[in-house]
Amino acid sequence: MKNIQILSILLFFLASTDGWAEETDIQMIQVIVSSQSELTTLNRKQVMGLFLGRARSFPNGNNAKAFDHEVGSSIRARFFEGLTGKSISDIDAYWARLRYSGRASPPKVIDNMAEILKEVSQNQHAIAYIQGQDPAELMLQDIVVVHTVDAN
Amino acid sequence: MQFKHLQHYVAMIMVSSALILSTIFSLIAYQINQGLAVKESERQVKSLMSAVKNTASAALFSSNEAVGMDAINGLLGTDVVYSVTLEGFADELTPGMKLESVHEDGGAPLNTITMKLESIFDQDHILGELRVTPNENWVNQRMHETSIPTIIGVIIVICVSCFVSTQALKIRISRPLVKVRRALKDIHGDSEERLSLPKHLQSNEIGVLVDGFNELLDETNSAFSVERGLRDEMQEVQENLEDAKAGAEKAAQAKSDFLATMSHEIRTPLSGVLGMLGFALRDPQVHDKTREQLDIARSNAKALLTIINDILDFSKMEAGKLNIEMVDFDLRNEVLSAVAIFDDMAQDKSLYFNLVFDDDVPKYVKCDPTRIRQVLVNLIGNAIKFTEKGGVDVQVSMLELSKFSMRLSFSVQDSGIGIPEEGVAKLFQKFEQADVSTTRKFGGTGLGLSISKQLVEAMYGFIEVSSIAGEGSNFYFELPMGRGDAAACEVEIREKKPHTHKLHVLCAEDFVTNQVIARTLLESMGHEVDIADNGRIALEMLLKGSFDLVLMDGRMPEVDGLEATRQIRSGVWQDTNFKQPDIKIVALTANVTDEDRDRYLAAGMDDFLCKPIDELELHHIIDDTINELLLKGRELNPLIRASASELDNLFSIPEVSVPEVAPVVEVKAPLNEAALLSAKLRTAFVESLPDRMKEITRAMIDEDTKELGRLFHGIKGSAGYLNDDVLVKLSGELEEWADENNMSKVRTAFNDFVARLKPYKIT
Repeated sequence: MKNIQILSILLFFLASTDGWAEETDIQMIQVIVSSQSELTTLNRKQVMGLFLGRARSFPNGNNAKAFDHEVGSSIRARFFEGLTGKSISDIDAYWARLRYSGRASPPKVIDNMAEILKEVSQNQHAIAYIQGQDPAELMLQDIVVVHTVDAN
Repeated sequence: MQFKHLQHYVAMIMVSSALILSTIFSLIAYQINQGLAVKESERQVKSLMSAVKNTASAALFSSNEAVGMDAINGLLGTDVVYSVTLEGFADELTPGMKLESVHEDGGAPLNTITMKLESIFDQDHILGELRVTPNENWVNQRMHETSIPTIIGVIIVICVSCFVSTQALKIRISRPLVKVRRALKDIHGDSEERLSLPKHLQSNEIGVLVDGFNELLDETNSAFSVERGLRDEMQEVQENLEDAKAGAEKAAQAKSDFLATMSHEIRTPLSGVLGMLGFALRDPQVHDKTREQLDIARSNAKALLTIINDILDFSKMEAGKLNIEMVDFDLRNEVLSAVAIFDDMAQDKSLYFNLVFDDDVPKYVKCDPTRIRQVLVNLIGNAIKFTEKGGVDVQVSMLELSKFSMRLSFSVQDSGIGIPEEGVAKLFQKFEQADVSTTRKFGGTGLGLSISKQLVEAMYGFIEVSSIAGEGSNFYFELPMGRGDAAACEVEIREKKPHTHKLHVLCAEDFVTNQVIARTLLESMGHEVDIADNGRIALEMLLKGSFDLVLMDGRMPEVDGLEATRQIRSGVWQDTNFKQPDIKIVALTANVTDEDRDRYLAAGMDDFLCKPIDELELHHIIDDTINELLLKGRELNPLIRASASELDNLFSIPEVSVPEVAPVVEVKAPLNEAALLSAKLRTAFVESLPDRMKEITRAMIDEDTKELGRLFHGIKGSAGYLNDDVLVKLSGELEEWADENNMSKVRTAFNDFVARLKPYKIT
């Protein structure tokens, strides 16, 4: 809630300055789940756990399934860099280590925005990240933004 | 002890030090290496852990055990790791995990190294721990790998340094010392050499030692030189002493020789005087007054002879030539006959004279009778000489008696003037009398007691004197003696038979008196005598004439007795052969020492006769010579003095038949008559002697002078025909004194008379 307040203040500040606020909105990456998941918000640590293979369920105990963007895509790089503070090559090296043993299970990749939204809206276990969507519009598709990452 | 070089000793120390050091250093190196190896293992483990850290962290982050095991196996793939533990802590997202594994080859764990594993994405988020223990096996192996070269290196370094030190020591210290030792061997007591050392050793302990030795050497050298000086001095002193000693001995010898020669020179004419006086007294035509004068002259001559004999004895003692005989003899008889003369002397001074033998004193002893007699005569003579009233007691006692020996004491006690205390000490010294006035008053040489003392001591006895001035003296001596053999005592007595045959005797003698004595004695025995004035004449006579016996004086001018004897024995003289080179030669000599005897015997002489010539001895020698010549088959003229019938009448003996004797050439009286005469004479006299002696003894006790005169007359008659002139004379004197009623003189002469009869008591 605090983050949202900060964000609200930040958003208010940005809205009062002309043209710049919209650009800023575009930079924001939103972590989304199905509204059926009954989740309202997830902290950074929980998001990191779900996307980096540490957690396999949501805090309420329901199974979780993370979806990722294509490797090499701009959004993926910005998302993980923004989330962990590490470079994308570090993230790739992490996955490479896990893959080396042959039993790693990185998130499934979906490279189409519409596909992602469809998947999330229909699957209460799904979690993914998108860029620059209006949360209100998303609510209409039964998608809830539970976390945002400032990725610039 | 075996010599060992100092370098060996040093090397030994070095080697042992090297061993100890090597061991210590090896241990230290081992310890250090162990620490190093442990650290190395930790370093390697840590670096390995760092290498797998991200993988392990990823494994923990994603709770991926397979990845975790990969990381663990990767670590265990090296030998340095023993065990690995990977633990993930539980949190709200994961339940946690724990993976463990151990190195498949085993080993042992060391201290665990722990590494915290933080999340890759969040430095502050600790996911778990990686715990690894290094393997001890690896550490040990590593240690060995590194230690062995280290230890070998240390040992090599130590050994090399030891060897180098030893060599240095050898060259710098041991060798100079060995040189010093060699030099030391060559250094003698007083050599001038000194020990030297190289410079580097001079100022240390060795230098001090060598300096000390050199100083010692200096001191020794000076001591040696002092000692050598002393030795030279000693040598000189010794040589001087030896010279002095030789001089003194020579002087003493000269003195002894002089005394001996003088005594001899005096004795020779004195013998002549005594002999002549004896012959004169035998002459029945001599007037009584003249006879008396002759008698006094003879006793004076005898006294003089005693003194001369004393001096001769003394010089013999000085020269160490006094001989002590050991013969068996009848002690009582000997002492009795020795003291017989003093009865008369004592009576003349109105003194009593007692001789007492203790009952346990044995009859026969073994000692030197002549010397005992000499001592006794001397002591008793002194006792009588120095006693004016009272008398002299002589006592012979037994002190000890054992199986083979005994100890006798002789005591001569007088009641004379005695000797003052201070005189006693010098009494037995030579030429000393109690005081000078004694010599003036009583006369004497002062040699008597000195000689007595030396004689007693020569017989292993001692003599001492106790005296109170004015009351008398007691001379006392003790002698050890052997136990006498009765049989041996009797053998000596020999009969004096008239000679059966006439000999032709050559007498070589330069001294006229002795020539006369010899001639008189021999002619009175019925023999023919030729006189040679010296050895050369004797040899000439022997070459020309025929003789049966030679009497040879030792000392003669031109050719002496020894030389003459050697010539005779060699058989040739002046290119002419002797007829009888084996003729019997008898030495006439005044001084008969063993040395002289040996000399005479060596020259080839057969026998000795002492001068003054003892008639009896001469008689025996001629008797022996006759027997020897007869045994050799020599033809000799028989000798007869009186006819048998005359003798028969004289001894009132019936004629007896005697065995036939072979007739002899050139007879005055037939030989059978001579033999018969001789045998009869002797047998008759010997047979009648015991009865006659009994009669005489009885008459002596009764003091029947008339009877004694008759009996002595009878003996005198018989003795005349027995050819016993002495007996004739003695019995003649006794007859005379008996006729004069002089019993004391009869008693005095009686002992001599009895002694003279000894030979007749045994048949």
